[in-house]
Amino acid sequence: MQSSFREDILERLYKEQATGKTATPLGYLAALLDRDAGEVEKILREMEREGDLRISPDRTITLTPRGEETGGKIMRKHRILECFFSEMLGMAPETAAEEACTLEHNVSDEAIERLGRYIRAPGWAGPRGMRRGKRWQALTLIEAAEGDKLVVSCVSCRGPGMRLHDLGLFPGTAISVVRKIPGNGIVIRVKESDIALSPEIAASIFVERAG
Amino acid sequence: MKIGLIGNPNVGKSLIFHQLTGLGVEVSNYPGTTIDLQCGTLCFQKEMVEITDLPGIYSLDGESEEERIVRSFVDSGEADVIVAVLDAGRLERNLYLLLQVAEYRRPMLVVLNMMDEAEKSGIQVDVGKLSSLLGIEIIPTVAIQGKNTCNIIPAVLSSARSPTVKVLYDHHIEAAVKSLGTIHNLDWIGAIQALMGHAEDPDVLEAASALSEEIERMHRMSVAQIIAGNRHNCAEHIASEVVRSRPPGRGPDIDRLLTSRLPGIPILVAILVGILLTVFMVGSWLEEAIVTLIDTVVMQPFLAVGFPPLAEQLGISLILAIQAGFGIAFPFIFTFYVFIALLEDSGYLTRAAFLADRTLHRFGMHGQGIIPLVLGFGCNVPAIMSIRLLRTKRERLISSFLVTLVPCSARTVIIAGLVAAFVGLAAAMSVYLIVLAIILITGLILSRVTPGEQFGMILEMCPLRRPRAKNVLLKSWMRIREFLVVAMPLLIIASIILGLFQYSGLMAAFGEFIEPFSIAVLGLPSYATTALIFGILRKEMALETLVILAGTADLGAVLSMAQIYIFAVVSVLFVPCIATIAVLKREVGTKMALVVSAYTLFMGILVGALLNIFFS
Repeated sequence: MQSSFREDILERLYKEQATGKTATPLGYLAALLDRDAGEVEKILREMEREGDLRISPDRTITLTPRGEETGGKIMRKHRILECFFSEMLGMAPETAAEEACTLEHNVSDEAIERLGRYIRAPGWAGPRGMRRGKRWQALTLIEAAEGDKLVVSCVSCRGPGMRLHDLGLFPGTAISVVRKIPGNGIVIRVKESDIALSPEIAASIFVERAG
Repeated sequence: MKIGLIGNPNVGKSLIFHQLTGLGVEVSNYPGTTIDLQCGTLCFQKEMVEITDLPGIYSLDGESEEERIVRSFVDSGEADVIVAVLDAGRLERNLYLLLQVAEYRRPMLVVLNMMDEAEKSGIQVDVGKLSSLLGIEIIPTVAIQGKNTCNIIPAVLSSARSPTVKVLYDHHIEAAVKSLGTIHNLDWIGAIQALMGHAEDPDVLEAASALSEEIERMHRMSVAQIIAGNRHNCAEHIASEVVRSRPPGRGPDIDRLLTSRLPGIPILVAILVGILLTVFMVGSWLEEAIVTLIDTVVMQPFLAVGFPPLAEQLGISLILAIQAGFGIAFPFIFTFYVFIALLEDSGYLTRAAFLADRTLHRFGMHGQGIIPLVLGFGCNVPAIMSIRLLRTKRERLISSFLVTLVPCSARTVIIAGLVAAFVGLAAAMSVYLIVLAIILITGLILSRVTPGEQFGMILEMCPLRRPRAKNVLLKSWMRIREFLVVAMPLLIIASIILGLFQYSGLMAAFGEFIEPFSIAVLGLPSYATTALIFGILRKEMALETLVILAGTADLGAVLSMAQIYIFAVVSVLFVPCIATIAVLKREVGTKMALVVSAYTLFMGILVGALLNIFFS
């Protein structure tokens, strides 16, 4: 319980930082986690001692590289599980997210990697597909860098998902990152046209590196 | 004969429509300009041809308003011929929509537009081969130069035919479509729509959903996804057959400058501030000229005739309304529109939206929200009209509040003519700061309390183009015409009503009634409050009325600096003008229009009262 809550904190902070907020206020974090601020602060202080994050005097929190790595890993696990539950098992999106929230802390790295490969295999195994056996790096667009050449592997957002399909963002489509402003949006080139996306939409598009 | 123009956003449908019919339709280098259906007729070889310009969409299957409009238009079979406009440079994505439309098996024609741009970026399309693959006639055009667009109508009349292209669907989908077709007597398109959940008959829907569940179980993908994937594959296949591209020559990358944080954001700020300053300077110069002209040519001779008092009062009201309309419409709003049209046509506006995305997120909107906010500086009326571009109700609500607070050019006139002239330039700037602070705070609060989900930005970035003077002027003219059509009648009616009030002595009675409140809360004499009421009619009329009621143009002699400052702030904030209220009602409903008006009224009085306490 204790460790899974810590992982939740790291994941939450990682998401915040991925959308460009470099420092997250403590009170805001507690509200996001739906916990008492005092309780959260106690745990945060412990985590600071262990080197996962830093708390500045104005009570805002920044992740250390170590914390960032753990947070990123948890978020990817969450995404893969969520994608699996909703896209493959047909669970309702909300339930899928809830289920992913509990399982993300217990699933091993290997199981996640295999699950990721499994999701990809029955999906699009066209000529653009990746060679089998290669490590599947579940990357979201928001983690991609300017100039990256990528292949879409899964579009998991619900409402805007259809619109993205219509624009050609489909499993197997080759895209490239034209412009990225950290924390701001991202411009990608899909089928000869440039599309600007908000960070939250970019975060719901899974990609893998081409090649 | 009826024709429907269909295509992706920003492929030049409206431009082609305009060239075919000669009607003024707004043409923008900004996706999503056409929301309502535009109809026009022309006569070709003694045959009446009616053309409908449909809003640009990426797919027929979506649930957005435009997609629904187009789908029901195509479904209804209203059009005898569907003309699909494609962008030659983005053929693959454009084909996706074309393949959907082709399934209706109606007579069609393809217009392959923007051939020049495609060529410039090293893309060559084999038109003959594309035509034989699709089974329909193709007219290559460069609409912006008017090249070959004259051949569209003759081709529609002579050689429109039903396309033969067929998307290869997954065999499970094909089987499901066939069984739906035989059991429920549906045609191909009806069956495929039923599989995707669009059907009227509940029996059909039930049978279709059972089938699609089965397919989803086998494929671990939704039917919509499989179908979309098959269509994408087909589009990709066709494109790979007919498009030959070579890597374009590397020119200087202007786009990189415009969309990076540095210098992109300073450029954005400089452009916006530059436009506001220019509009303000050009505008005030022109306004003076127009107002003086109407004064000497119409007003003075009218007063000299000496009509009976009631007729004279009504006449004055009418002339004042016209003077007001033209005095603000042409100098400020038209000049502003020219700049906005330049921004749109050059494709810069999409870049601005991209840059502003992050900032606007804090206020519960996203990048596209910058359009109404910027337009608001010219005039709130078209700005409110443009909030239709925003996807969710939540964003439309928030922006309707924020836009009505943006100081439009009429309010700029008050700030400049009153505060800058009598108090000082720094004070005038401080009025802007107060308004800006209120906008920011309102946005922050609204983004927390407004219910509804936020829909992030998915916006196609238009290529940078050199704007064409003719198109820019035409568009500005059409918008100003729309403004005049909406605002002018309101101005005239309201002006006459106020004139009657004044004539019947109601205005004086109101002044007496309001006096205690006016002095106690705002510290203003009653005539200043009466002038504020006139501001509802047209914002800068508050200033003109104040001059008339005070009996002198040297307001510094009758009012203290604090009073002038309070008057300006209150009139800038409080109650949007009557034209704005009218469009608010149209776009967000009567209730919200009232709430927004009440909020601004409250804000105006609150800030005025606070300033009054602060100064005294």
